Amino acid sequence: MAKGKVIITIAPTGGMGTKAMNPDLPTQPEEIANDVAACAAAGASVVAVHARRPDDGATCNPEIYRDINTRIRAKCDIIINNSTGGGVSGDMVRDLGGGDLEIMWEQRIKGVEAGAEICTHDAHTIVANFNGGNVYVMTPYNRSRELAVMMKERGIKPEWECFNLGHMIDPIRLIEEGLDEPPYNFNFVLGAHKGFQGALPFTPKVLTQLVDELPKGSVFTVSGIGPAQVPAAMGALLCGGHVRVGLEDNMYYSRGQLATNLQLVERLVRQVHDMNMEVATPDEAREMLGVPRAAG
Amino acid sequence: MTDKKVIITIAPTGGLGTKQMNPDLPTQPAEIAEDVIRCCEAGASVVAVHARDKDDLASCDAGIYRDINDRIRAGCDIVINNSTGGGPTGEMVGPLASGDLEMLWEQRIKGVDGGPEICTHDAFVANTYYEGKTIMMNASLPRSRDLAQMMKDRGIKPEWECMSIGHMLDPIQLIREGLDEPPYIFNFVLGVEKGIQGAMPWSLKTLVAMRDLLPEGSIFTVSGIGPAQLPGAMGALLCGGHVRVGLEDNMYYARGKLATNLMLVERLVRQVRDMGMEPATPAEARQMLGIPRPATAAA
Repeated sequence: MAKGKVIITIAPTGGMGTKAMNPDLPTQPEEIANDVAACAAAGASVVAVHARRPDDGATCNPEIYRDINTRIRAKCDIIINNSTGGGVSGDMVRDLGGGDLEIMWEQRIKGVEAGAEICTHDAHTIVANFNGGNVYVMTPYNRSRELAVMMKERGIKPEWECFNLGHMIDPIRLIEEGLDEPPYNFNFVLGAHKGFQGALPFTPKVLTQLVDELPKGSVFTVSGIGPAQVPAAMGALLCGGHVRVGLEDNMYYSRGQLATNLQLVERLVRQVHDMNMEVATPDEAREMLGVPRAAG
Repeated sequence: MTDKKVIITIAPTGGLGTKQMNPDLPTQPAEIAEDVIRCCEAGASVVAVHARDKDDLASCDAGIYRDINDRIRAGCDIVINNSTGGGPTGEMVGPLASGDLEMLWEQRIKGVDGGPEICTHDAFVANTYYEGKTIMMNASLPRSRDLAQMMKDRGIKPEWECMSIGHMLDPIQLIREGLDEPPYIFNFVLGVEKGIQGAMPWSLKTLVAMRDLLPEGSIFTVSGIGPAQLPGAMGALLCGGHVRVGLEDNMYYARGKLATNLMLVERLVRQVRDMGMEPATPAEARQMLGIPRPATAAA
């Protein structure tokens, strides 16, 4: 039995999904804020925000992030994480020709400018497959260091996103360079192998290996993609970790049945309680994650 | 998400627990049958029966087993497993020449004569600790072979109980010798390290290691002991296995709150469904476990 409480992160929107896939996907600031407030009331203590333009194209525009963050903070006390990954459309992408795209670094790093308490840090280079083309996410080590420094200067806690074991190496080097302090926040994204080259599927063995490689003093969350969301969440609980759910990662409640963010949080809360565990409040989560309350 | 069916085994009684520990522990045949029938209706498809004598002490008496089995079969279709482990009390326990105690082999093997479809087969040697006494479970490979042959002769499916990785070796040897046929049924008992020497604590990593050693064509159940029951059950689901719950393994629903067998089954059914799976019916369980339906209620 894991000691302590379980931090539930809601990832309501993401950078890839559309309302055509799921009409309950919140994309605009007020929709997102309303959905997040309902999820917070149900037990979520962190929100992983992605921003969208008025035309729903992906963006890391700090004005839009700030609008979303302000609206969320007006409704609830949830911890706010802003993505520096952005998405595969809108402001984020440069056309490389031949149907290939690159997610632009200069756009990604704008995600740190909107007063978030946490920002995602994808300190790896990876190729996504999207709409039949390749989407390059180019993050060599020097860029990751630059972004880690920007977060440190702004008092933002990095969340190190790892799709496989190799993605833990650069975060560990940056930690060794002093660019993060304990507790280190890792997010293991498992089951994204159909969309991201080299991403690992969820299995209990994969998860225990990732957990074994964590630097001492780390806290980890598991984000299971698609059908991996339910087993990965339970695996996280069994390994002493925390859980992310939401439509960013998984559009379905069960086979053929579309989900809402609130449904996914409510089921997870029930599962946490059935494991005789408790859900963390936002204040408890702040303490466990080493995140000071944002000035706003 | 999967459409996988999960076999829920209820272990209502065990060989150790007493009504002083939990007043809802069923020990006598009518109590056990009544409890098992309710658990079957709630979603259990196998019952792991332990018998007790009139004084609630452990027994493998075939007459008591048959009484329990008949009463259960009169009320539901659940698959019946009778223990050949017995328990650390009553006629089960006797002295070794050294003065130490042993769970008597000649008592244990009586468990195959009460007409069950499955019997436990604890094919290992281990010291158990009970009320300040050390009691040996003494199944050498020749003894385990004898018991496997007795089961085979009676058409009983062995359930290989393993408290650690080492406990898988003699079963694998006996399987190689042809004393069991696929699907091989393994029961991983995790979290009993305080009661049995060398037993492994529950962890997901331990379970994965044990699962990886299973012979091809095996099916496995996880029995988590005490506080390991909940994580052990969910670990089983993640690793493609099945789940045993019940007061034999765990007296509590939550810290300080005693359980009933029915409460434990009902919670597990809810958890199985939240994982996108479904509890197997007894008929589905028989098919998955390779068990023919018993010929008659008195078989």
